[in-house]
Amino acid sequence: MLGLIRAEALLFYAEVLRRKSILVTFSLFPYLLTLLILLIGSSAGSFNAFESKVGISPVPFFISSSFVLMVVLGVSDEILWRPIYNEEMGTSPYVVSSPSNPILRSLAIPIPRLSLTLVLGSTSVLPVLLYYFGSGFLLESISIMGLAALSGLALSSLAIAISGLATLWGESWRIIQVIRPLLFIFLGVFYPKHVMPTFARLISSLIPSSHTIEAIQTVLLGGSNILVPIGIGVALFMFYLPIGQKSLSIWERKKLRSGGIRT
Amino acid sequence: MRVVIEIFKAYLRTELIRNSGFLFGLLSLILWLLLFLTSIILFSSEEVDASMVSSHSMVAMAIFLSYSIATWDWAWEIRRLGFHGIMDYVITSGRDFLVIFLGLIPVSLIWFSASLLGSYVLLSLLISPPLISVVDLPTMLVGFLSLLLVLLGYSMILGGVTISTGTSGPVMEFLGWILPIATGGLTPLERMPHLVRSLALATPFSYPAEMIRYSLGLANPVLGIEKTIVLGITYSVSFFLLGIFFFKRQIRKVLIKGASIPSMY
Repeated sequence: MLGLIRAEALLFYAEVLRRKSILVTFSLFPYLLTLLILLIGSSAGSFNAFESKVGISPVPFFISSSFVLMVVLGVSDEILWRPIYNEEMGTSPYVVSSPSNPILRSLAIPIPRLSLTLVLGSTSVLPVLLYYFGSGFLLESISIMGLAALSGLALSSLAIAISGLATLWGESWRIIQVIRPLLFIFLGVFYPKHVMPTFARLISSLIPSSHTIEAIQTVLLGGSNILVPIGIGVALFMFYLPIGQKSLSIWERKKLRSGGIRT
Repeated sequence: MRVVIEIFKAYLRTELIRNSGFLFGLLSLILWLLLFLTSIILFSSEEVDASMVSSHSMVAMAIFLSYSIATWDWAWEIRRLGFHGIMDYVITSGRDFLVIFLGLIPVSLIWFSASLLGSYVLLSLLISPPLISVVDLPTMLVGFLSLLLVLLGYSMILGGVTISTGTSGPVMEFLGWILPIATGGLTPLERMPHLVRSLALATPFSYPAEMIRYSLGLANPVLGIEKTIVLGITYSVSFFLLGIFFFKRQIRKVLIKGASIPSMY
């Protein structure tokens, strides 16, 4: 596993260092998303209305949510698109014939990427939350960054399961384009789980990261009961692991049978 | 003309017909809109007229969608042609590269109309049916034509930069987000801070949005409507010509030096 993580880290950091523009744009995205929502939101109503419904000012809420979204997106996108990426780059045959365990190979993907959480968090969540709540909120801000990284990791097993199963569809990128926003809606990152209708809340509860995101929102609202949602998130992550393993086997079998049909 | 029709048919099949592409694309778009709209509902209060909120949101979505088409359907397509090595065939065929755009634009317009319809239904369900009343049809037509010219110019500049330098996806994505926000695409210029307003007016992007909003009776242009129309037409035509000039220059460079291979993302 360590060898796989090292290989993934080497590739990832080489790419980041080669194209620093990605790092800069990535760091600006939480601000961009927050600005977009605040601009349209302020013309649709008021900050006070938001505060009375959610219990917190929209600025700290959306900067944290946008940060979490970027962290989770960075991990889930890399896993969901990896089979298609390998297909496009012509590396699929090497991946399929590799002796390494497929599930470990996929689980190694998010780990080096999560180090970006530190860069992204210290340029977005940390300064904005400290400005809003004062230096006394430092520990909470750091715990939000940690929980965001955990949210990315927790989603990885479900993302692996989806990425393999999506290949059952002829052009899997089409189905992934639909699944991505659906996942983010049910994560409750912009529209918290506690204000969702019951049916949506039930679906949301099946996604591991929705629980860790709930923990982030609890910290933002000044609560401390975060161990239960973290525990549920980790349990769900474990639950999806065997499904992910099975899903990757389906993908590999399909590749071996078809000999290179586009995923 | 035959080539344009064949290109149109090819894109129509690839993008909208094959493997229910239209359905999946529309579903994806509606879900992304839903992700952002649900958070905007949290700001709603009884003091603000819901139908006006819907109308403003509808215009914002229309502008955002059109910028998105220019970035992802037009500029990204040039990049995709380069990535898959198709561009070399287009160049060696001896046809003008712009013939691709002529075949692609009608497909984008079909997609744009369907997306607007989807946005209308979504806004009607979540907030209130948007009030669409055209108060000045000629200005509206000029506004949409200017928008088309500006976006074509923008996509050619972005596409030209891509084939000559191999720009990465996140940069394009960032541009696709920042432009509509910073240039008055999402909110009328009269509601923006003076500094942002001046910045927006220095670009060709703000004028079409101002004209469209005025023609729907949603906002008054900060420069007055006559001045906005004159400057808007001049700026959009110049920007479009600049785009063509820049793109052809990049193609000439590619012919001399060869194309840079853009990375996948």
